[in-house]
Amino acid sequence: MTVWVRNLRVPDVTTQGGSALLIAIRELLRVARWTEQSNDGDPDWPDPGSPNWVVGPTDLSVDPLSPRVITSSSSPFTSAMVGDMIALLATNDQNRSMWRITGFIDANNIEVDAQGFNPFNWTLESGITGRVVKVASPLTAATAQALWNAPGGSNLQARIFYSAADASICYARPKGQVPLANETSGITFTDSTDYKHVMHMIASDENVLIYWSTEDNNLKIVMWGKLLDADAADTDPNFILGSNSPTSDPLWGYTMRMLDGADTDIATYPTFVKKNLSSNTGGAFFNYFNSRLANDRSALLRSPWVCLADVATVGACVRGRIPILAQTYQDYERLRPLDAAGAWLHTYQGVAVPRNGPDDPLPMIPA
Amino acid sequence: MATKHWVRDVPLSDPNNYIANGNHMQANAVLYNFLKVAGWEQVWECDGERTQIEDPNHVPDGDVQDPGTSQWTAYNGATISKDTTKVHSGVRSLKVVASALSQGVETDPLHSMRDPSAWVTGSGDSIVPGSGRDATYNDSITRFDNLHVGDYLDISGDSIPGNNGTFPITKFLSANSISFENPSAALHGYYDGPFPPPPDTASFKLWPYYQIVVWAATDVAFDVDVDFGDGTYNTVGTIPANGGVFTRYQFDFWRISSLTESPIRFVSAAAGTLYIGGIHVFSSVWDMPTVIKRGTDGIITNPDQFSTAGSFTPDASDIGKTLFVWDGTNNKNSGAYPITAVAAGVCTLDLRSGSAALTSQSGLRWRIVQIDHLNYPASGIPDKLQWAGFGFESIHTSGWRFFMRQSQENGQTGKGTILWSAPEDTDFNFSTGEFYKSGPSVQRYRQGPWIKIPDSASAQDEHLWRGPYTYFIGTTTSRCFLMTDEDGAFIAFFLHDGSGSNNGCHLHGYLGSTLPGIQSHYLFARWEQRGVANECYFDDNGNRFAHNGTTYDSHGLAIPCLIGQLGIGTSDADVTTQANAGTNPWSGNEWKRPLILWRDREMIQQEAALQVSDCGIYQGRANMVDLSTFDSENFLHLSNGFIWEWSGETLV
Repeated sequence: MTVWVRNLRVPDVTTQGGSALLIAIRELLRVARWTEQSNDGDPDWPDPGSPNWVVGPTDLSVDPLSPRVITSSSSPFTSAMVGDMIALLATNDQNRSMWRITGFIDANNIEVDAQGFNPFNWTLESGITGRVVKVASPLTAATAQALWNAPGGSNLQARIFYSAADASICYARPKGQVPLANETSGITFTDSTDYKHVMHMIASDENVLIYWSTEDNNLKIVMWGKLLDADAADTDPNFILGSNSPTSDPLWGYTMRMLDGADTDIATYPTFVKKNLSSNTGGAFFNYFNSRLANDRSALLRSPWVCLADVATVGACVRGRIPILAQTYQDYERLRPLDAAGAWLHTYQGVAVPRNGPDDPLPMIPA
Repeated sequence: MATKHWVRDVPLSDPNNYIANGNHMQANAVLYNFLKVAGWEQVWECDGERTQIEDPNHVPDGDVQDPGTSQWTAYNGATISKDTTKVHSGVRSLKVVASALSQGVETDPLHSMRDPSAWVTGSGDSIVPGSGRDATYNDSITRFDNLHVGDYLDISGDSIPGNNGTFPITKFLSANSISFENPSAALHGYYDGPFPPPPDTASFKLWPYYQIVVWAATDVAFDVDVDFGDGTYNTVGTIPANGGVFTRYQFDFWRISSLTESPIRFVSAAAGTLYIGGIHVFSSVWDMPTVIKRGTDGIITNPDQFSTAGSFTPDASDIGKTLFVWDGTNNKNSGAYPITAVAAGVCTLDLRSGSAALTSQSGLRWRIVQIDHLNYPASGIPDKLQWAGFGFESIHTSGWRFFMRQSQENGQTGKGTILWSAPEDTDFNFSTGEFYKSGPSVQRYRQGPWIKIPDSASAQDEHLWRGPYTYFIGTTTSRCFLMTDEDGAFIAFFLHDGSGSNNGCHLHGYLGSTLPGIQSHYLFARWEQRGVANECYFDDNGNRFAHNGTTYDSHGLAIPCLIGQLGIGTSDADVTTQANAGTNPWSGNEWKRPLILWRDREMIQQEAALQVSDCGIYQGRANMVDLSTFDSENFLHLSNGFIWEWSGETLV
């Protein structure tokens, strides 16, 4: 039950890049089977009537005999949609994704970006709801926000907020609909001068990993999810993890956010392996040249434990492992596939993400 | 991993506060005896009578590796030579061709043999029977030392017939007093004047006792004759014709005179050829066959009773000794338990637990051993004990080998036990215990030969453990813990010093990584450091057991390894040492993780790798209480976050 989005090229903007990012994240959460609890009613959220809304057909179909082609019988498509984004809210996970529209065939057929297409082709499916959206009009700074519910009965909620500083801020509510005091601190993505976004997503159950590149940044990440291997009595070990800058805030040295034993926001740290106690991150495994090989000369991938900050009674414990992501040697070259089976891809600074087979398209960098 | 077996908390006490030097040797004796009952094969032992800078073997060229035969003498017309085609160990054997009956070979006089002593008892000397089989001899003159345990006391001329005979010395009590085994002993105070009354004395002799281990291949039988020191040869056993297959034989003898240095002669029963693969003579410190009771007919009776099926009847002399037992069916029965009482041949054991109860079982391998500061001293240690060592081959399918040799000076300086191992049954020098470089071992490019250490304080090129040091007022007990598994894959050793400040710790064997073959064998112990420190910690101090281990690359060469730690954030913060580290706030449960085994961290062999152990050893938060159990007592926190899988039993 994994949903993949690769190389979703968000339409370029010339101002307010933070708005474009947040609109894309909102659509990606929907593709990840999250549901919107509410939003602030901003007219530019891409819903019917919005200037960012294009069309929402419900009769879409896909056929492996026509790779990359999405078909309708209601003639919803126009040539102007080339460059817009389309989400297929399909039942089949290989069909469920989001792409840039790269070709108009006719009013009933469009073609999606080859760089985002799944390596296993379509699975025959019809009656799919689609959403064609764009980012022509920015959200309202300082007020635009939306609250989303994770799937599968999880209490986890994600709140996304467009700040006055043209930044996108992502929050988690690990225990769900609770007072604001029980929300985590936000992770701010300062995209005000980033106008080109290439988005990627891997989602499974309540875990959703979204990472992207811009013309200015190698890798940014936001992830909402539930820790693996948490104590059975641990209520809602849900988290938000993210990094605005892989250079200044390397993900494995950066904080993530959770709620502590008193349901208060607490800094939480991914762990990494180092040689000995008291050594700083200069001696850390992920920053250590001599650890670049492992075992049968393949990359070592570890699912990092996470540790709550050093707060008596309610924190300072190891709580579980980060799902989906893996930690590896940080000086691997950027966007390097790590194995012949195509299971893992190194993105940047020791952050490895799953890959959907050896033919899964590699991430693109916006020029 | 396989089912675990433990030594659970053997108390090693020292009422004389010798713990200032650590109950070091006692702990090694615990390890030795537990491996014996676990079925490990002892492949080597040495005493320290030749000190640390010499080949410990009393037999000149006992390893038969000298090219020539100058240290051997053909006997009665036999032909002797060194042979390189039929070899047991190293590259040579000693070939003895007897063309007729009563030919053979003779060793040179043995090295550094202890001499016997003799005296006639006088006033103030006495024999005092005990309530068990052991009696006490008290002498007004200081005659005794720890090294005499295992030797023989020969008494003649006593007016009480039951006091006459030859008896093993079982315990050192003081320079004036020893225990010896004579269940027929009767109270006797001696008198040698002034007269009258008439003198009432006896002749006492103290005979040093030695073991002979020889590997031999022969097509005819050869007697083993030993000169007991008086110039007369006595047959102590026979090497049977064995089809020319190298086989291990063990014999023993005592020295009754100091006229000669007890050469050994092998004498043929017919014309034939004998190959000697190695011969080692030592005065046993660890096995002490005359002292340590042993058998395979142990009976455990619920909840805390031990007896035998008849091979030995414990009595009051065994109170205070330690029972070592191995139960392959009920793993929680295995262990080392102080004997607190004996009645009608049944021992009551101290299980060192508020919850433990043994499961009734019979047919168990057992040993009863005096583990105390008198037989295994912590201070004032004579050379025989001070430099004593042993070597084992594991019951593991790999046949990995573990050796140690004591190197503890009388004071604090240079104290330690040198440790070395091999990941398989690598050939070793029959005299020194050093591995040959023909196979993998920690001595193949990682470790130098321990025996060459000119100054034991320098500790160059060697692994060791040291353990307790601090002088304690009011507490003199350290606590010894061991863990292994039914397959003999590994040994985990921990000695808690009572305060947690200077614990001893080492870890060896196959620790459950997924690397192929010998690459998953590790030795974790101090490296080149003997300073006073807590070995059970995880920083980069060379005194830590975890920081400078040895494992193997794909070529079989020894390379460094360590136990990796978890860091967080961008500073030097650590997970296990957070100041407020605690249990899970939602459940109260502890968190633990398997050991991170990190080899070739400096990329010497371009084979760096991280592996996660699955042998039942973990790390958790360092601020847990020392020697505390958790998760229904299925885990034991030893110290500083070092955690072992545990038996489900509480500790005292």
